[in-house]
Amino acid sequence: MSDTVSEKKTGRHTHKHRNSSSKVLRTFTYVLTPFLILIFLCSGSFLALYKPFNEYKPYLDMAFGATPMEVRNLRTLNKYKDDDAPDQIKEIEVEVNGKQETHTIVYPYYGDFYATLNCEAAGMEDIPVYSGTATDVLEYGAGWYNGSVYIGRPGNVVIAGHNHTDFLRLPKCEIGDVVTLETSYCKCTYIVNDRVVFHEKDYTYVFPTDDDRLTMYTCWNNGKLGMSEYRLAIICKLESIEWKEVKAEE
Amino acid sequence: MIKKISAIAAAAIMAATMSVTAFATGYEDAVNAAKAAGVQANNVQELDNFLQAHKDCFTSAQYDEMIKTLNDVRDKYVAPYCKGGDKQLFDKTPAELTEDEKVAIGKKWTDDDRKAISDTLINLGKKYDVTVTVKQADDKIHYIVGAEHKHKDSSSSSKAGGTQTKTDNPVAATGAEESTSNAAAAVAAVTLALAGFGVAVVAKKNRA
Repeated sequence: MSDTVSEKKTGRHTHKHRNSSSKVLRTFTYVLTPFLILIFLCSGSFLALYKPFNEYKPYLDMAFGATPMEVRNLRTLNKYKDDDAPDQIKEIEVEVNGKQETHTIVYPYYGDFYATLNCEAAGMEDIPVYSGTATDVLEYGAGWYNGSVYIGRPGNVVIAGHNHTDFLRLPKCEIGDVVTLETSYCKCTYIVNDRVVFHEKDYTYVFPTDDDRLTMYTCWNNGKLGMSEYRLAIICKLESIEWKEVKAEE
Repeated sequence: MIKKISAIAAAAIMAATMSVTAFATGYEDAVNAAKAAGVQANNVQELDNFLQAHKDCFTSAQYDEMIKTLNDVRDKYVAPYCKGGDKQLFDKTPAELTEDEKVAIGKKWTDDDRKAISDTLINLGKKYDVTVTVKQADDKIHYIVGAEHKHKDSSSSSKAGGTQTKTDNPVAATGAEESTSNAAAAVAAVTLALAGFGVAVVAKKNRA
C-alpha cells in the first residue's frame, strides 16, 4: 500500500517535473523563438543594407549567379533596338599589306551580342562581348565601348567587363599572352603588351589612338573584388585579322 | 556635223556627271570636317561610328549641310581662340589643336555657348530623323554624344531602328553593380515582411 502511495507520489512528482520543464520549453518555443528569428532576420537585413555588402555581393553572385542557359536566353533581348530594325551590313575598304581590299562589316546595334573574347593563358574562355557598356548590358557579358572603333577597324577597340564575372581572370593576363576577338565578320588576334592601372576619370586609355590595339579593362581593388575608382587595363597589340564572308539574312 | 556636236555634248555631260560623282560629299568628309573643326577625338570617333553604319542614309547635299554646320561651330566657338582669333590662346589652327588644348578652349566657353553648340547638333539631327543626345562625361570636362536613327526603308510603320552610339561614360563602372544596393534593400524588405507575418501567426496560435 505504502509502496503504491510512494509510487503514486513519485509518479506525481515526475509528472509535475515534466509539466514544468515542458512549460519552459513551450514558453521558449512560442514566445522567444519568433523574436529570436525576428532579431536574426533583422540582423541579416541590416547587413544586406550595410554598404560593405557591395564587397561580398560579388562572391555571392559567383556562387549563385545566372546559369549559362539563362545568359543565352538573355542574349536575345535587346531593349535598345526595334525587333524589325534592319541589319547594318556594309562593305568597307581595308588596307592589307599596302593593298586595298573590300570586306564586309556587320555594325552592331547598341545592346547586340557582338563578339566572343578568348585568352586561353589567363583562363578566359568564350566571354560574350555586347555592344555598349551600360550597367544593364554589362550584366550579360563584357561590353564594347561604342566610342571606340568597331572591331576590325584601325584604332583602339575598348572592352569593359565586371571584375567579379566576365573579367574576373583579366588580372591573370600577362605580357605576351594571345587574345582573340571573334565577330560575325572577322577574327582579330592580339598580343598583350602592357598592363596599366588608371583612374576612372583619366580617359587616356579608352580614347582613340593612332595604333591598332585592344584595351580591356575592369575595376581594380588591388586584387579584391567590388567597386573601385581605379581600373586595370590590359593593352594588346593587333597581330592579325582574318576577314570572313558575310551573307545577309533573307 | 550634228553627229559631232551631239558626241561632244554627250562627252561633256558624261564628264560633268563623273566630276560630280568624284566630288560627291561622303561620310568621310563629314568626319574630316569634325576633326578640322577641333572637335574632341572621342566625339569624332562617335560621329565616325554613327555615320559609318548609316552612310547610305544621307545624301551628298545633307553631308554638305553637316559640314557647313560643323564649320560654323568652328568659326564661332573655336577659331576665336586659335591663330589670328580675337581671343587667341594658341598659335595653331583648330585642326592642329591637341586634346588638352581643345579642353582648355572648352573651359573658356560660357554655359550659353555650350548650350548653343549642343542645340545646334540636336537641331541638325532633327532635320534628318536622327535623335542626338549630348551629355557631360563624369570627368566634367569631356562631352559624350549619342545618336539614334530610324530607318525609312523599314517595313514597319514605326520606321524601326535602334542606336549604334549611346551616351556611355568613357570609363564604365565595372565592379559590383550599383543596382546591388537596391536589390539588397528589396531582399531586406521582403525578409522583414515575412518575419513580421511569422511573428503575427505564432502570436495568434499562442493565444488560441
